[in-house]
Amino acid sequence: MGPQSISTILVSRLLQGILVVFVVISVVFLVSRLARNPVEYLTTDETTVEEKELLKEQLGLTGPIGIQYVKFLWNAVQLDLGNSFISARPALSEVSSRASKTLQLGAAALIFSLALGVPLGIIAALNRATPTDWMARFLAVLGQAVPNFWLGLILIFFFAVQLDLMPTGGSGGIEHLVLPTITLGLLASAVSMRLTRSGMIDVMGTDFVRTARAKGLRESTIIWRHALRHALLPVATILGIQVGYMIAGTVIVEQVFAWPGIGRLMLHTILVGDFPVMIAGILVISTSIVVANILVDLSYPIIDPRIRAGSR
Amino acid sequence: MTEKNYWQRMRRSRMSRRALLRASGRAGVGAAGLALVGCGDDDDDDAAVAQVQQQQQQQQQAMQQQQDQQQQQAAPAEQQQQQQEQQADTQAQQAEQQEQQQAMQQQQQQQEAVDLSREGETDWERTVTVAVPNAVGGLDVQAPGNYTLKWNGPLHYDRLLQYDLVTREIVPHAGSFEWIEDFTALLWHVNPGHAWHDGTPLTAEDVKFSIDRAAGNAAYNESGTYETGIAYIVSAVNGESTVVDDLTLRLPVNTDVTAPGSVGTTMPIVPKHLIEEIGDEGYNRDGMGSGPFQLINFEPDIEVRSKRNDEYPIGYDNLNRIHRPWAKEIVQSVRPEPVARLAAIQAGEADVTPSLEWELVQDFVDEPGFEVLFDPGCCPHTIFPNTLVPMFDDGSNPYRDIRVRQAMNHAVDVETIYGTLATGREQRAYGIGTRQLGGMQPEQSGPLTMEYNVEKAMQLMDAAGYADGFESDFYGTAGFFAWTDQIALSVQQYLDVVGIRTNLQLDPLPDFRARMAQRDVPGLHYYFTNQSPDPFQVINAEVAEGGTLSVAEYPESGIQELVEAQRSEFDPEKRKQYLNELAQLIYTNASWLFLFETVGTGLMSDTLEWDMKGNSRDYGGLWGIRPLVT
Repeated sequence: MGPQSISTILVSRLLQGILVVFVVISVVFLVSRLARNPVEYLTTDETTVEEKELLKEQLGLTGPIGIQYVKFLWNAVQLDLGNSFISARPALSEVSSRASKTLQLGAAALIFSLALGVPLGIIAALNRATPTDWMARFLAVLGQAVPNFWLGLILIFFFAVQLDLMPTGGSGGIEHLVLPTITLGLLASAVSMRLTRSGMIDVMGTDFVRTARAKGLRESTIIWRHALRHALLPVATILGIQVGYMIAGTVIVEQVFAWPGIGRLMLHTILVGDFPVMIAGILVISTSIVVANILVDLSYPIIDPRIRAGSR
Repeated sequence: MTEKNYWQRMRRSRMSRRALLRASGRAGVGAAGLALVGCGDDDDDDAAVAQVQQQQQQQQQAMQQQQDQQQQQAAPAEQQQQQQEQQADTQAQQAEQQEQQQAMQQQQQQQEAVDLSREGETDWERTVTVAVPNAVGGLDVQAPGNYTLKWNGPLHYDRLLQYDLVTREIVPHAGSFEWIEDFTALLWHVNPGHAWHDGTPLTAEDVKFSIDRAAGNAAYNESGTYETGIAYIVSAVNGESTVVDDLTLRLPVNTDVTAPGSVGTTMPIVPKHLIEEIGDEGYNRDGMGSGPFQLINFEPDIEVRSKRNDEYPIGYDNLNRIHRPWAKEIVQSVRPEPVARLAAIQAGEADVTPSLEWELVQDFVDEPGFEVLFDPGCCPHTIFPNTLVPMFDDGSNPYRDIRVRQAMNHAVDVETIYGTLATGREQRAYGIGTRQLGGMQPEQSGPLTMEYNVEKAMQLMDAAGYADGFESDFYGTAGFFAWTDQIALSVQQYLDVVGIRTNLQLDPLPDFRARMAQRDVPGLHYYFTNQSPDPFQVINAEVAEGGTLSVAEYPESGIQELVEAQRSEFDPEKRKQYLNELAQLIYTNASWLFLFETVGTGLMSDTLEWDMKGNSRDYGGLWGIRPLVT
């Protein structure tokens, strides 16, 4: 794959990504308009029908839904998603003010999941069918089975209430990041561990590893330099999907740990029907997932030189 | 008395020439006396000394009189001047005495205030952390949906009137009112001493501005982005308000406005000078109030930090109302998840949370270090049958028959429901209003209570021609109050026993309310009545014919007549009587299925005291928290 090929892939992925984002926000726009009436949240029992209609008009919720949709698209193209019904601030700035927090948590969780999952997978693969392997697999199953909501609360009670080692929630120093990171990253680490393990088991039985051993290479060189690169391909593939899962996971984790990111904002906006912020949030989240997947696609040739060679 | 004040007073008290003469005369006589009797070291005869002194005084008086006479004869102009000086002297002395008295009184009041504030028992330097579920939105207290309305209204902002926690009456806060011009206008008096947190006095101009802004009458704000909780006053105002003076505002209103007290309690006052300077958006970002706490930091969804307003004019002698707070700072730390709020208190990161479900706090009732908070809840649970539209093809609607409604009330064991599903401290609901403001008194409600009696319920159903029962839709809310889903399920089971077979559907509150507001959906609607100080909101919304949520109307019952009567009665006592009659009629008419008044629970560290005099503690009542010396 030459530079031409990479740019072709990039353009193609970008176009696909734009289409995905467009479809996602269109669906969200239509579903939210049909399913929720934010005026009910913003008014009280005594609010008359006339007052509700007036408020609806002020919020731009009157008129045929098709016209609303066209107006919305036209403004969205200009990156104007309207103002929050609650704070009256521009919706995109509401979301972007939270983005750094979610990015912080997501990145930490991703690093945690790889730092835990990949080595554990390698260890399990190299000690196949031993108690170490069983233990690692048990942990992986546990990580996948435990709901992160429940895990978060258990971690709070154990590390914050009982041991007084960590804060129960909130944001600030690095200590606030530890428990949400573990909660969010554990599921991803379990997936990484299982994929690394199976990948390593496959690779360690291949001819080129046998050849490497026959050439007298050290085991660590074989593992880290030759085998792991191949074993990591499925991990890299799943990474793009994991980013999506993680962003979805932040909705719950941020709620439990009072982490002021996009996830919590999204939950709140969905509950109260703050459409502009909700759509801005979805836009940011779907764009992030698309970008993550494009980056994963572009990382293949780096991880596996055979892909680069094959494209020539 | 400060040194500065002393010297200022000294400068003010002018010494007259006459006073100087008198003083020098006294000094001369004194010196002569000392010369005669010695310096006091000798063993003199006291009687002799006294005699000498008496003689000298007599001499001095004689000399003085002589001098006075000479002066009077010699110079009438000078005499006049002296008289004036004497008068001024006397006035100065009187002023000084008055000032001294005032200072003493002030000192005494301060001492009383200190006593009331329980200075020695209070930790004045402590910051209290409150775990709150959220803090979103902006700081414009008049904007719709802003968190300040729900959480921080009374903490940072003043209203014209407030609710007295002891007497349960609406009383002056930043203002008071009187009816004028045959009840066609209100004269609002702003209490002096209230000031915005930047030091600018709160005036009638601010009140006018707040009303105009809410009503959309302000030149810059024609769209009127008001919070709908104050819609009542907005709709009541029927003309231009006039600022009479700095502290007085004349407000013309419609003649059917008889509950201005509630209007005053709900309408927050906003600062004219600041909003004109920074605009609506700026104010939403940097809101400022005049309340007992001053906002010092607001990070949306993270924390709200406020400091004590030491200049707040309402002192500790008004303990049962909003007053100067005790805590140095209040930090509202956001913990959306209830279990995480509980953990924050257990871990010592938060001191109190006023809102935690009973399931979470019941284990802490006897736990050392904690105090479980029980509060009268805001909203009696009530199920409204829709009587407006037919339920069946033949045009009938069983709920229009009072016997069916009575049967419903007899069919449900309310006490068992709240005894098992809730805290057990709840009370039966009897309809509109608090007991103090028109609601039914215990001696009235006792004999009227429709007790749990299945047999009677079935007899009533039979008498109404529904011995075989009927099917009905039943709508409820999920996730708004604790247990509403379980309560709805219980009620469904109880009703089923007497033949009212319901199809239960639970929805989020906004969806539920939107459906109820359509008023054309037959069946049962499980909603709540509002325990506001004045029941006018509940009456307007849920009782009055055509009310926004009024689905249970009974044209022949006389209810609407009482609604109208209380609306046009300006005498508070008579209006209270009408409200009481209305409450009784709503109950005896079995207008709704009456369930119970909720009890809210929370958790607090026992190093705090939070006495709201029997009223509900909520986030707006954080001014009442007193940190104890530990």
